[in-house]
Amino acid sequence: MPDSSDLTRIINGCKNGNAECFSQIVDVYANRCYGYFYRLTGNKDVCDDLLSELFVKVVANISSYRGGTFESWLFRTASNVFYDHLRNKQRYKETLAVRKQWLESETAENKSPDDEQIDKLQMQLNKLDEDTKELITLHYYSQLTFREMSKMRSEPIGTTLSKLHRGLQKLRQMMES
Amino acid sequence: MNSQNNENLKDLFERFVESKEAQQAAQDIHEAEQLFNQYPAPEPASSLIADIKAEVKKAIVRKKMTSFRAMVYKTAAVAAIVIISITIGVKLLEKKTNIKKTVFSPIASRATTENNDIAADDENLEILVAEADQIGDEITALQLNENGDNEYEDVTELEMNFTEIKSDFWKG
Repeated sequence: MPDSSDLTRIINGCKNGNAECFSQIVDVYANRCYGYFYRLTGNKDVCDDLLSELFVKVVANISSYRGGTFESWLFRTASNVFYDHLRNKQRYKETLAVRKQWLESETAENKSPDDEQIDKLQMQLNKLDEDTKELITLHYYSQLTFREMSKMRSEPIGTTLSKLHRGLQKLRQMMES
Repeated sequence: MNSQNNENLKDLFERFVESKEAQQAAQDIHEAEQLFNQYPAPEPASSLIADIKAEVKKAIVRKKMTSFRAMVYKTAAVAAIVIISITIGVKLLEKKTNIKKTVFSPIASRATTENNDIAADDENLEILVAEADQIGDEITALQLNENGDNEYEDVTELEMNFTEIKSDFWKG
């Protein structure tokens, strides 16, 4: 993770159309963004597409980033990419159904404990409503402050806090049951 | 991954709930977050990262091309506006400085005036020509003094002819 001065330099390079700087951005944020998309979709193929789309959008819209935390801007873009995906392709229900079916068949097989654990978290996440799931994954992967998240979601900070608290409590209960 | 970003959750919750509840809520969130550390999401394949970097390079080229095209179109549009403005300006200036000249144009069309077939155009015109010829002859006779000393009568006759022709002419 680069420090803030390095990040500023990299972003300025990106604004000037420097391919090397964009590569650095991909290296730094690809894992977190991939995790974010994966927890939202539960589908690696869709994740691959969304991650590509995200960075292409970053190239197209980098000039619209004018200060503030870069993560906030990046994950707002990621969130838009995800919701565009849901709206345009109307695949959300289908993806969930396919994923659920796939998860059920996978867990029936003898798999390594780690894989089973990953799947378990994903399965429980998929049981949450869309908004709560998005909030939890955004909170974990974006590393934004609550103030930034509430601003991004256009809601009071108290609402964001209580929604996240309730969502995580519910998730924990489901994981323990 | 620590998603708390060094925020003091307890302090944040205390703005909305009692201190004890705030403590519990902050602890709940920390514990629930551990689930994500416990079950990490898969990482993107290195081939995917390579593909994305290649795609990004293409996107940069596309963006530069688009920017260049937009610049060319803008320049062309501005140039066109400047040229049109200059042309209009010059025309207006010319109009203002132009001296007005009186242009005479024939009442009858050129085809009519250039037509040699007088009889076909108008029968009266033929008569008029004949009378003009006659007057011409009389004037010649007067000049040559062919009618002797009777000049006064000749002039009177000529005037009468003129009067007759004039009235015929206006009658049409």
